[in-house]
Amino acid sequence: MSTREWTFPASYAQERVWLANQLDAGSPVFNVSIPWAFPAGVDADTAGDVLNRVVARHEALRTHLRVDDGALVQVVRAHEPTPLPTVDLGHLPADQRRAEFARLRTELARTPIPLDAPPPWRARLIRMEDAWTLVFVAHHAVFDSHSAVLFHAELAAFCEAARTGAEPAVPELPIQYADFAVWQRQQLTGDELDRQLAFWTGHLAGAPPVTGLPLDRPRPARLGFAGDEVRFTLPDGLLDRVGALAASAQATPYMVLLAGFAALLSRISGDTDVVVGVSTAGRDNPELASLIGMFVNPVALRCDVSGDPTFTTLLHRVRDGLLDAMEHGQTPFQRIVEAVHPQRDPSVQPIFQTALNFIPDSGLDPVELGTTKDDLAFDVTTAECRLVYRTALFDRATAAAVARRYVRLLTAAVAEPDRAVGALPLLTDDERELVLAAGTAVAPDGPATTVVDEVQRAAAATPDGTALVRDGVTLRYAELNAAANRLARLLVARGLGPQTRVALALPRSVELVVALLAVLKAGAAYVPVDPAYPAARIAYLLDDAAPALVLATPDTAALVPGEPLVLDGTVGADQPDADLTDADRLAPLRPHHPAYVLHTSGSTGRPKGVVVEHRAVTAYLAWARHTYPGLAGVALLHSPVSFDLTVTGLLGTLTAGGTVRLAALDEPAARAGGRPSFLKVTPSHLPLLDGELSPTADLVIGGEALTAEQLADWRAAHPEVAVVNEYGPTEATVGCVAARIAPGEPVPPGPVPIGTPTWHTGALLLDAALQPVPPGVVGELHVTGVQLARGYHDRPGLTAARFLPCPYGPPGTRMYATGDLARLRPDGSLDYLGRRDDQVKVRGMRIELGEVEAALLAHPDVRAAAAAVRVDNGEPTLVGYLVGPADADSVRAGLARELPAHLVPAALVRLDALPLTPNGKLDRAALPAPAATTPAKDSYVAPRTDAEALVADVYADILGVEKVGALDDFFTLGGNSLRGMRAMARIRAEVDVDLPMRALFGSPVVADLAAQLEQRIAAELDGLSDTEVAALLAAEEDTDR
Amino acid sequence: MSEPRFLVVRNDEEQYSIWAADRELPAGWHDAGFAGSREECLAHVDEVWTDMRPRSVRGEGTS
Repeated sequence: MSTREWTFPASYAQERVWLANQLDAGSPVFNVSIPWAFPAGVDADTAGDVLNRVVARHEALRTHLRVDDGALVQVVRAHEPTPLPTVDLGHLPADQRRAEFARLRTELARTPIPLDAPPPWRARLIRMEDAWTLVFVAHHAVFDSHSAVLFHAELAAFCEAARTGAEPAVPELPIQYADFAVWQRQQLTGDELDRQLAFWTGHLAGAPPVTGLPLDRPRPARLGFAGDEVRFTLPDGLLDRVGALAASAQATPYMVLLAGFAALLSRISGDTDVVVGVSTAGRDNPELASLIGMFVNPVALRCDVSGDPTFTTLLHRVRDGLLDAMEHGQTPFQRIVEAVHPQRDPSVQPIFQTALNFIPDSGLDPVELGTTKDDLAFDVTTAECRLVYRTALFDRATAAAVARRYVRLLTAAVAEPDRAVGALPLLTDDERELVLAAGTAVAPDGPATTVVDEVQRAAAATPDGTALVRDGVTLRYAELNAAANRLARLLVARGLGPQTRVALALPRSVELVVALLAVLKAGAAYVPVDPAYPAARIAYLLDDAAPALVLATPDTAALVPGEPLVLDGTVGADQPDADLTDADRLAPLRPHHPAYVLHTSGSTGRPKGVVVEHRAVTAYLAWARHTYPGLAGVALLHSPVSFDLTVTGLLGTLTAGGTVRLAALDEPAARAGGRPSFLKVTPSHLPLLDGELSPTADLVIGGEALTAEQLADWRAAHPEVAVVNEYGPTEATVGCVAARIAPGEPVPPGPVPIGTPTWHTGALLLDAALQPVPPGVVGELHVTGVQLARGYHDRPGLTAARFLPCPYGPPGTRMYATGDLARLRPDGSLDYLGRRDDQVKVRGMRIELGEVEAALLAHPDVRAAAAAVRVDNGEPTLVGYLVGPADADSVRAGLARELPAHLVPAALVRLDALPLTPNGKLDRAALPAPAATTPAKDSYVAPRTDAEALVADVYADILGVEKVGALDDFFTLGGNSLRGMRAMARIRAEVDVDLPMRALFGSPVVADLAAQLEQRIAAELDGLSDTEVAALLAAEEDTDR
Repeated sequence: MSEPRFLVVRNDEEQYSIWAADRELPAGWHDAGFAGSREECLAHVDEVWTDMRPRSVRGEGTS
């Protein structure tokens, strides 16, 4: 005997929930749990009868969903009383009973309810001590939070009626849910729908497509529903104060909670344009008030947090925005998604990723489902609140911190609503202290020294040790020191002393090292001028630095204007060998005097000279000698002295009694004498380091961001060597933050942390208002301490702009605003996240180039890689560069598996080698543009298999496109979720294979979906050969025509 | 919103910097008597900070 059933169009809300559920039909993410305790004295039969009466009244509880002819319909079945399974826990001791009840309740709540079969709910009757409790779980497609209130009221009314025999006190139901759906479909069509969609597309134009919240992990290529939650309570009286502020601002408490949420998101993400999801009840008509069903429609609230408003101002903005959004709250959200984001990105929930619900009292049971729909969603209640979060993106500790910060910020905001949002506290006092402690240097300050003191100390300790090797020429410490002393005396005689500058236009040579030390010994500062530079650059540097003297060799003298002092081997030969004393100098040399001026290019503007004092250099060198034991051995010095990375291997070695081997990496001399003990390189140098060049004690990497993938091969070949990732702008002297990776220590994939501040450095992470950011949150790195440069030579304004008063250090001290973004990791080390100015976006999505580069390098046949955002044709495009024999298609497939769609480069370019600057950094400007068009993308490839032909035909038909090729993408051709539903229904009808909707979202390209189809068929027709499957497919096609 | 205002500030070493006018000035720094937009303040610093050596080491060198 079959049950009678009727079909009606699904409502928009049902359609939206159904579509979302298709991404993982086996997830309980849309389960709503509504337990209810029957009054004592109601027996199991009565309880079952009461539930059946409620089900009989509401068609929604007898509804399931089905795709008919490519359209989603709701199927309403006639009521048939169903028996209620019972579990008797009455005999158990109280605590065991409670535990068992909780287990049963959770088990039921976590059991997925398929939408394509009746009924859309599950129930158990559980006998507790002396009464029965109903555990009831419904699918969200038929049940919203107001339904829960109705459900409880009706259960109570029928119980009361059963007890007294009177008529049940339940309202008449003039219409049923399906009537509403039919009415809604008639209402929201044509011009009316267009008008509403126009509002939303306008409202959301230019909105960030994804929240800038810092994530603990990169976005996976595809989102699931895996989630977790942290629970918390609001401090006593906070909701009262929220209510009071709301009343005084003609707002609702919910608006205050939302304004606090928007402020929090803005502060954590740095975004001033924040989009938050809110729900509308969707029950505007009085006939709907008493109906159980799904009426809720999400709307996007766009909050403007720009201009550092006060909290009151933000509240007014949120109030106006929410009223506006609510007025257009009946526009089906799914339609808005299709209109605003026709291009699906399965790594991001469309339009909003965060939400806040205020549920003062719904009767919903917040069972932990282990699922989430949003990246972050607050449920604020009068009792226990919760923050549900996506576990693919966030750690539990991060979510807990977000909840804590929300409470703290909201508490402060309602106490002082006229405070600027940017000044509201996010951190607890403990956290603030922790964060600021990292901003203060910890090393006990010994007496400041000069580089000259330190070199002479080493020379005196090991006069016969080898100090310098260049092209087979060897200088002992005594020899090098004496040569430098002789030249220094000559320099003094020429009028050079503290606070003057001497340019070194010298090639990589013994003379270079002697001259550099001589300048320091005279008390002056050296200014390296690489003779390999173009003439215009040399002229610029000399003009900018205005040195009192230029030193050159006979080979380089012609390259510099004016009258250089040419070091021909005889210059200063007649001077005494002894160390200079202050009496020999024109003025005493003090640690506060400049030691060198190095020019840095930066990304914009002309190169500027960074003036670094002796005390800064010796502070760094003290740490370096302690950290790098290899400096006392042989350091291979290959990089130019104009690059501050070179200071470690040169002055670090000469103050440690070690040997400097001066040679370019590609010179045979670099290998003469066996492996060095110390080597410092940029990450771009790593592929060049073979066994002979690799150091035995310390490999130091600096100058550029480092990823584990770049490092992996070298570490595998040299497991016994420590690696240090050293971070340091020239303005903070060589290295100010560093991470040591011990031999054997595993390095997780992705960017390598830069570690912790060095001895004499403080590292502060501050937001735009120079407030410390919470741990885990991205801030601009500000460096404090003795290693700070004096400033930029002859650039007072630029110096003032970058060296700021430090509010967190000793009075009168400065902090250097690095322009670098970083965040504090849970282990206390720092993650480097790129330049602040380089925050590149493609189609509104922030691009982390490091993530792209790491994913490229993860391919076994990619030796080196780079990523760049190019604007060659007006539109920013992400381009990947790779070195190695890897097949482009296999690289692309690997990227698509690992990365969200927006991080997959639109073009891949193969290079013989990455272009490097003279300092060994990646030369981004020299990366070539990709070929104008990628032929495979634009040209038509005819379907190659029967499955491809089938999929292509279906696409063409559903999308109204004349010709669909094997490489065409459903969504690029104009497909959307609703059309996708039709396409999948059609494919199902053609070949009778159950392909889920998520197959289309994951594989929208004809060839990929066809491959999935063939796999399914193969699986379902286990035992048939490929040929037979193909024959079947062909037969299906034939009958279709 | 109007452009945020800054102050030109100076410490005891007579090093100059800039600071948002509505923020509390850190200890050891003093208002140098000029306020304006960020760019105006930096231009002013370019004019007035003529000796970039910290005050404590001026007069010690050879220039």
